[in-house]
Amino acid sequence: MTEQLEIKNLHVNVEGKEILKGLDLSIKKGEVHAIMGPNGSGKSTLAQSLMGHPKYDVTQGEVLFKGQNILDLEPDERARMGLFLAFQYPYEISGVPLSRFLLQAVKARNEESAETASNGKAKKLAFGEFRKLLKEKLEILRMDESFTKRYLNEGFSGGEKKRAEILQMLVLQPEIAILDETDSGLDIDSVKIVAEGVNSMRGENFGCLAITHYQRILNYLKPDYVHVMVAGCIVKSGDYQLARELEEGGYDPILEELGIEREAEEVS
Amino acid sequence: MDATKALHEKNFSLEQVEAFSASRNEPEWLLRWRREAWDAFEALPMPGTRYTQVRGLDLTAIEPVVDASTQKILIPKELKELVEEGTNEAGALLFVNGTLIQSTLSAALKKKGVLFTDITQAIEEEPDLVKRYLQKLEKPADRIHALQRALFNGGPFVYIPKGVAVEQPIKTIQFITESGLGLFSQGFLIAEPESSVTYLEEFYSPHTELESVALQATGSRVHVGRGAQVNFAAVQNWSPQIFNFTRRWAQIDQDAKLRWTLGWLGGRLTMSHIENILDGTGAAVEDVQIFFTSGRQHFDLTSNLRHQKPHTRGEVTVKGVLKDKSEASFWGRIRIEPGAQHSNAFQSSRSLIVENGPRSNAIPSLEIEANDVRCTHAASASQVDEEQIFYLRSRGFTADQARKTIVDGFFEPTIAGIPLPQVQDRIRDLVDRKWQGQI
Ligand SMILES: Nc1ncnc2c1ncn2[C@@H]1O[C@H](COP(=O)(O)OP(=O)(O)O)[C@@H](O)[C@H]1O
Ligand SMILES: [Mg+2]
Repeated sequence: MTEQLEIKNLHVNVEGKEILKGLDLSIKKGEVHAIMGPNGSGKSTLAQSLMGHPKYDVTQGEVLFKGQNILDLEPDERARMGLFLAFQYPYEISGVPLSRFLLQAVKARNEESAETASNGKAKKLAFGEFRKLLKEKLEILRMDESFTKRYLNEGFSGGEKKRAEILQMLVLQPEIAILDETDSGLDIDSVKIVAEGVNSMRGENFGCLAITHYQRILNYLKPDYVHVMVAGCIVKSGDYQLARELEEGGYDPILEELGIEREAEEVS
Repeated sequence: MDATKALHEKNFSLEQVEAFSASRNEPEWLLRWRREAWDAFEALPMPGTRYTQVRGLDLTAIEPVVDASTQKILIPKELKELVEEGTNEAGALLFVNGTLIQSTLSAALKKKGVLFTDITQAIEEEPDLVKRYLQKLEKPADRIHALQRALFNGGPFVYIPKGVAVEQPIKTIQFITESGLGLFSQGFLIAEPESSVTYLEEFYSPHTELESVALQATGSRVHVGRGAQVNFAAVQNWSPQIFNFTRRWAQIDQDAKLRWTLGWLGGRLTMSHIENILDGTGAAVEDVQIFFTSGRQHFDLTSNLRHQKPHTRGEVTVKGVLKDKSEASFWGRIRIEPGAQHSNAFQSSRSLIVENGPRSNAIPSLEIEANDVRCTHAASASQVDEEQIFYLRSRGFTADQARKTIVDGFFEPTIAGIPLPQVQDRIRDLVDRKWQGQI
C-alpha cells in the first residue's frame, strides 16, 4: 500500500451545521494534490478536521494516515505521526520566541518518531544539529536568523506569518502537509520562495495537500492532481490543466456543467 | 471573640512580650515600643479586604518564636547548598525558623561602613540608628501587623552609608522547616544619599509539605536617600501551609530610584502591602510583581503610590497566572497630592487564567489632586485561548505543554525585564517546578 492519506466519506459538522458532506480523497506517497473552491465551500473545515480541531465534529467517515485511523487521535498525536497543517490564519503566541518554539516542537516530534520509527529520520536531535537545520531552512526561505528571535507570529505581517508556517514545516519534516491558502496575500516573489520551500521537501516521504485560489503557486508546485471543492464535496478532479481552466473561467462553468446550484458565497 | 481570649491565655500575652524583651536586655524605649504594639494588637481587627478573609489560621495553634538564645540549629540539607552559596556572597544573612544561623559581609563592604546584620545585633551595636528608624514606622494597620511589631525577634538590617556603591547583590534567606511556628521579623534597608545597592530576599520551605500551618509576618522599611538607587527583589516560595503577611513601606527622596521585583509562588494565604511614598522632587519607583497560584492558594497584593512632590514617577506592573481553585486580588491606589505637579503614574495588572475555576480581581483607585499630571491604569484577566492551544498541539505539543508554553510566554517579557539574571533564573525555575507539581 502506498496510500499515505485516505479520506473516506467524511462528514463534518460545525456548530450543528453540516459543512463537509461525504468527502473522499486519497493521497499516495510523494504526491502533491491541490484543492480549489469558492469561499465557504469547506476547505478550511477539511484542513482543521484532518488536524483534529475539537470544534469540528466528524459525524461519519474515516481518515487513514499511514494506514491508521486517526480520527480518535489527539491533534498532537497526529502531528507527531507526521501530519502538518499550515494555518490560513496562524495564531500569535506572545512571549514565545520562534526559535525556542521550533526547538520544542522538533523535540516533541522526535520523541514520538523514536518510539514508532517508520522512517530513517527517527533520532534524537542535539542542539547543535538543530541550529544547523534551522539555519539551512531559513536560507531556503531567505529569512534572516534574527527573525527567529521574535515572538511567534506576534506583530508579523501576513506574509511573514505564512513564511513562518512554511519554516515550521521544513523544520518538522512532516510526511503529509496541508497548506491552507499559504499563498494568499503573498507577493509574487514570496509565492515563489514559499513554493521552493515546499518543493525542497518533495520526495518519497512527503505528500502535500495545497488549498489555494490561485494558479500562481501551482505553477511552481506542479501538483499531480487538482480537485474542485464545492459545498463540502469534491465535485471534480483532474490534473494541472484543471487549475488553468478555473483561473481563467472561474467556478461557474464547472458548476453549470455539473448542474450544481451555487450557494450564496460566504466570506471566511 | 473566643479565639482571641484563648489566644491570650495560651500563646500570646503582654507578659510574654515583656519577658521576651527582658531576656534580651532591650532598652527601655524598645520595651515601650513593643508595649504600644501590643495595645494596638488588642484593639485592631484581623487583616482582610473585600475579597480576602483570613481563614484556617488558628492563632492558638501558633507558637511564636521568641527564643533569644543562639541555639545550635541543625542546618537542613536543602539549605546546605544555599549556606555555601551564601558564604560566597558579598553579604548574606540566613535565618532558619526565625533564628539567624549565618551572617556574612565582605571585609571591603565593612570597611566602607556598610552594615548588614540581624536587627537584634544592630540594636546592641547601633541603638540610636535603629531607634531613629523604628520610631518612624507607621502605625500598625491590623492585628497581625501589630503582633509582628510586638514580637519581632529578628530581621535584616541593611545600612548603606552616603555615596557607597555596593556592586554585588547582598541577600537574606529565610527558611521555615517546622509547622506551628509564628515568625515575626522587622527589616530595614537604609540607603543614604547617592548610595546604591541590590538586595535580595528569598523565602523557602523544604520540598516536603509541613504538617500543619505556620505564620510568617514581616515588616520592612526602605529608605532611599537623595539620589540613591535601590534594587529590591524578593522571591517567596513558602510551602502551601504557610500564612504570609508582608508589609513594606518605602520612602523615596529627591532624585532617588527604587525598583521592586517580587515573585510570589508559595504560601496558603499571602497578603502583601507595599506603600511607596515619593517624597522628593524627581523620585521614581518601579514595582514589578509576578505571581503564580495553584491549588487553593490565595494572594492579596496591594501596591500603592503616593506622589507628594513634583516630577515624581511611579510604575506598578503586576502579572499573574492562576490555576485550579486559587484566587488573587490586586489593589493599587494612586494618590497624587496637590503639590505633585508633572508627575507620572502608571499601573497595570494582567492575569492569565489557565482553567475555569480561579478567581482574579483587580481594584485600582485614583485620587488625583494635581491638574498637570499623567496617570493611567489598566487591568485585564484573560483565559488561555483554546485556538492557541490547538495551534500548538498541531505542532506536537501535548495539551499540558501547550498550556505551559502560553504561560511561559505570558511571563517571559516581564521576567526578561528583571535587572538581575539570578532572579530571572530563579523565577523561571520555580514556575517550571510549580507547573510540574514539584513545589
Ligand atoms: N470555526 C467555525 N465556526 C463557525 N462556522 C464555521 C467555522 N469554520 C467554518 N465555518 C463555516 O463553515 C463553512 C465553510 O467554511 P470554511 O471551511 O472556512 O470554507 P473555506 O475555507 O472553503 O473558505 C462556512 O459557512 C463557515 O462559516
Ligand atoms: Mg479557508
